[in-house]
Amino acid sequence: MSSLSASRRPHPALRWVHKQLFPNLLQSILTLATLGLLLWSVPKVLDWLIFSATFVGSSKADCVGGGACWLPVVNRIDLFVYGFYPDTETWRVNLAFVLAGAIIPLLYFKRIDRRWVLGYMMLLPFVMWWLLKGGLGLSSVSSTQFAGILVTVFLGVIGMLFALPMGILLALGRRSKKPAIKLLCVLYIELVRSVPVITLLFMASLMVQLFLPEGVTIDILARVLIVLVMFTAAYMAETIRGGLQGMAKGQYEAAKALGFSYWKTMSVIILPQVLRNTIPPLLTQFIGLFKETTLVVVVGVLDVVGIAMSTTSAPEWIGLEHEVYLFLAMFFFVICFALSRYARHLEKQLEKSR
Amino acid sequence: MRTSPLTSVRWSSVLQQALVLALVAALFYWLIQNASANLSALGIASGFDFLDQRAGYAISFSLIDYTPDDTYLRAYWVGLLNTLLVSVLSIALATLLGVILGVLRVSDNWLLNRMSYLAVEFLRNVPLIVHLIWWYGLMLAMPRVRDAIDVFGVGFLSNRGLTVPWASQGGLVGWALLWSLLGIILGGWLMSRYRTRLPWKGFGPPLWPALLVGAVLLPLLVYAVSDAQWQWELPEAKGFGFRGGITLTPELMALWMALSFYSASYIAEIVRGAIQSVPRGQYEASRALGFSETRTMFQLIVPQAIYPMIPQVTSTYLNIIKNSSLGVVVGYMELVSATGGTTLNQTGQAIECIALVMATYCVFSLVTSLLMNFYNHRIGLRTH
Repeated sequence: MSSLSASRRPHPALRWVHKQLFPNLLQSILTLATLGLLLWSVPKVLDWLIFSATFVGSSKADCVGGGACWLPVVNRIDLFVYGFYPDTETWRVNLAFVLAGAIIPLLYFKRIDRRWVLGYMMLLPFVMWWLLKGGLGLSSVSSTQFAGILVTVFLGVIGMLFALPMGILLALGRRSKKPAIKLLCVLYIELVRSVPVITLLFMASLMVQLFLPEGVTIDILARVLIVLVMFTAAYMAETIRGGLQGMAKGQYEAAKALGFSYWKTMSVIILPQVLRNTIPPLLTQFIGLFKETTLVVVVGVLDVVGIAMSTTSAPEWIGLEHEVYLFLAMFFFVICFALSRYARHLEKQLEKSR
Repeated sequence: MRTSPLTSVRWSSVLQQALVLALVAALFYWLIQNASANLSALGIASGFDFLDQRAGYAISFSLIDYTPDDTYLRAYWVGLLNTLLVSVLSIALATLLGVILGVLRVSDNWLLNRMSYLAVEFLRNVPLIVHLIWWYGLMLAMPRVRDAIDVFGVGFLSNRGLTVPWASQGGLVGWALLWSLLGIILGGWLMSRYRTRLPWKGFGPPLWPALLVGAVLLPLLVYAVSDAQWQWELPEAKGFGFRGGITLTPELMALWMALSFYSASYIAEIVRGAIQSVPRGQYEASRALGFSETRTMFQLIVPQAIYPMIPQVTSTYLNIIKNSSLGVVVGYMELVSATGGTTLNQTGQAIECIALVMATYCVFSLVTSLLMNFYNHRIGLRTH
């Protein structure tokens, strides 16, 4: 009897398969076609990527397996990560990476006082700058030795943290009741948002020199950093403005009733709530900035993309674009995807706590 | 004498603003002073007179006639048209791919849903420049002209790019597009006039067939009454290149593909969000009334999802136009690489060139936001 009842009420797994994969003819055909494509391609792709690939060797001649040749990445991994940073000083880069990465878990723990987190984030860019560039007891490293992932992380993290206060000020300015301040902020935000980043980077590399007094020069790394900060702040201002608009009116009125001044209202009541609510979109913005930093290659700063491009055009590794660019794509995908999942998670937590 | 608190607050506010304005003005004054001192030291005359000089550089892909003997101004127009060309091509392909991916993302089919999710996440989390250099490498690795890949018997894909048939007189295509655009406007205008006269609002015939008819009919009509001769020219391999047809250079192809695939992931997310924002009850009600899934989708869900989508899609399109400036990486001569790059390097007129490029982009976004405001105004009227 049990076999009969089982045939009438199919196993939950089978029901799932029926409902999700083969509900009708068209869907069934699509499912089968996709399955066929996957069965045909996945083994080939895996074979190329891993099983027939070459991971150990010293030159292109060692790649005989017929699969991917990961040697340009494997042999140049130090160049990809540290650029031309002095070998004896790489601990400073590692430490900077760890300090930057520590923000992510810090955002997670609700037990930690937010003021500590904010203080850490305010201090971090200066510490990172000091660690990487040197000075005050550490040997100084020239910007020309900066390259690879080091530059990408340096520009992304420092750019983001410097842009945050500027973005907050711009957002407050845009909502200000003082027409002159509002006008300036609106002009700035809209102007920056309507031009491509590349034109701003061109400005940094070709135009800034013209506007400075004779003899004053700014390092190219600092110039592109300033541009990225200016650019990110304009976008961030819009995110924070959205958060400010979403704030209940009663919050402002209560602060006014307590006799708080404008700055006290903002810093003690409004901004802490706004910042908490905008962590997920700000994290998304960081992903955007992290991807945008790759554009600095246009003005000759060798970030990780620059190193990859120089690797594919190096005579000993020529013709291995797919491997190098795939590595590059995976590098960005892993970081950005993880961060975007994390942002989603924080957003859900916020929704729950409301 | 005591001033009232109100006036003292107002005065301090005015004073604050005046101070900020004065600071900004002083900053600009200082920058301009420096710039004019530096420029006179370098012997560069400011102003836009250089635009009339001979450009002297070649542009491999141009929609209008251009030789190195033309002026910098004409090079600017070539760049502008190239920006618009790659943007329009990318917008079309990105929309197509994005809608497909977005619809798959909300599909009940688990397998398709997951595949689309993977594709969208991969495409959007890899920077555009990585997409671009990968596509460019792929385009350059195509076979030589002699062994070109035949694309459905009409085009050829080789390391020179994609060669497709084109009208024997190139100028005709421009005219056809222009008349087509006029036809769309005319069709839309006539239809909306007709619809406002109907007694029941919102139950008139849909708008798009009129637009389509206008887009096709008007150019054909004009062609029939004019004495222009239209002829498709099929490309054929000839020596080291192709004769006939038009060749989309590898730079253009790479930029087109990279922009399309990258932006498609954003459009897919917008489409998914919009479809999911339609209340589930609508879907269930329609199924309860016995409508098929396809009819429910296209007659109920899509029309409701399309309005909230439009502002976001517009901003994605604007991003495509801005991102087309990445052409500078592969040497596609669009606005930034022509005027902001080569012209700037040759003339040294950094301020003018960058201002020109930035102003052009500002015009794009200004026009778009004006259209958006107009649209929002219309929709606002409709929902009330």
